[in-house]
Amino acid sequence: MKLYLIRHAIAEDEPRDEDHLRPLTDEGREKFEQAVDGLDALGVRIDKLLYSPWLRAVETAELLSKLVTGETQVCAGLAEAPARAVLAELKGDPVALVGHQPWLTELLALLVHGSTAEGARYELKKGGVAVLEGDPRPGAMVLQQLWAPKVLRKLAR
Amino acid sequence: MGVESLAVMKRIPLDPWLEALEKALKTVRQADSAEGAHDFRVAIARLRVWLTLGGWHLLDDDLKRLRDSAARLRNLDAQLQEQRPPEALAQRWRGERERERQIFLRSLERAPTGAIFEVLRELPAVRRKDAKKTVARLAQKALHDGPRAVTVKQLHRLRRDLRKLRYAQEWLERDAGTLSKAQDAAGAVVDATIALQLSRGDEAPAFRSRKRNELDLAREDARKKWRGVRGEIQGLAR
Repeated sequence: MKLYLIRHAIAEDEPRDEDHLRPLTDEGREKFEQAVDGLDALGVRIDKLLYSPWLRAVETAELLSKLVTGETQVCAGLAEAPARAVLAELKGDPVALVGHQPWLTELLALLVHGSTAEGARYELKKGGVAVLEGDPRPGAMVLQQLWAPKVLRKLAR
Repeated sequence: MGVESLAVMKRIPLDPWLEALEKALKTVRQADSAEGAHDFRVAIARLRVWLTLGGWHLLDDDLKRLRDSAARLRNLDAQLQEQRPPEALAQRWRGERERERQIFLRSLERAPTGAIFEVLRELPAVRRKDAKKTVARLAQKALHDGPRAVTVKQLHRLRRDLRKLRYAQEWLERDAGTLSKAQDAAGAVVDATIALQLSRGDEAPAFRSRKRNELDLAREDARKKWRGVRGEIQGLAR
């Protein structure tokens, strides 16, 4: 299966009482809309979209929803360090996950290397996308692409 | 009145029905009552309309799955309460109902209810201006489906259109009495159909014959009520 790991777009960074309530900034929204157009131009379609319950991820996932051909599902496991519960949800093809750092690259490392420890080797910018292919289990996927948001925006028609 | 108060008036918070859903969820988990599944489904349907009014697509799938998980239980509750089945049939339905309740409770355990509530609590209140535009779109959908609503399936679709429009009006604190009556009339068609689907000819022939007659009358009534509410919906579609 193909798996897209997508980091939320640029969000407000002013301190708030609760981190999970930070929304996207206007700039973050606008830039990610262009990145979604870039994904669209690349022919990306999503059969299942899983998203973290934190507001900035929900808003990012909403912008992606026009690429979804199947179903969407909120996933509490995307707002914490990667656990097997998330892997159990990876059904469909392609699947996209919208989440947060450092957990997304830890998940990437888990799926590619079999261990989350390698996660720090990868950089995933806000609004960036990692593309993996293979069986969604530890060490059984291959990293195919790492798309910076700027590249995706340039691809937008 | 301050600027902040005006801004609040221009928005529609989802709090009342989020609280209703939390309460209904607690009720269905703790006790077994015919109203539990009904209240649970109504709260979800209202929240889904609120999401539509706000232009959200995401959480709709999660809420739909949650609502659908109580559908069979609710159907059996409604049949037992409202369709006056003969005792032998009622007894079979009560047995099925207990099995459905267990299936429903198990699906609730698996559902990401905590995460769904977390997202719902975070979402910003819907802007009235956006909501009014969506009402017009929902009204146009009803006006498309209404004249074509002849078969049970088409009347079921119209019932859903009317329900969404009614809830949207109620979110905007507008009167939705006529819409509610038209929705109920289309609902009677669906209820009679379900009664026929859930019963067998060999166990309740008289009951089924009565339901077939009721179904014919309900279809006529639903069409009549649709014609009665059409003008009001045309006004909303502009």
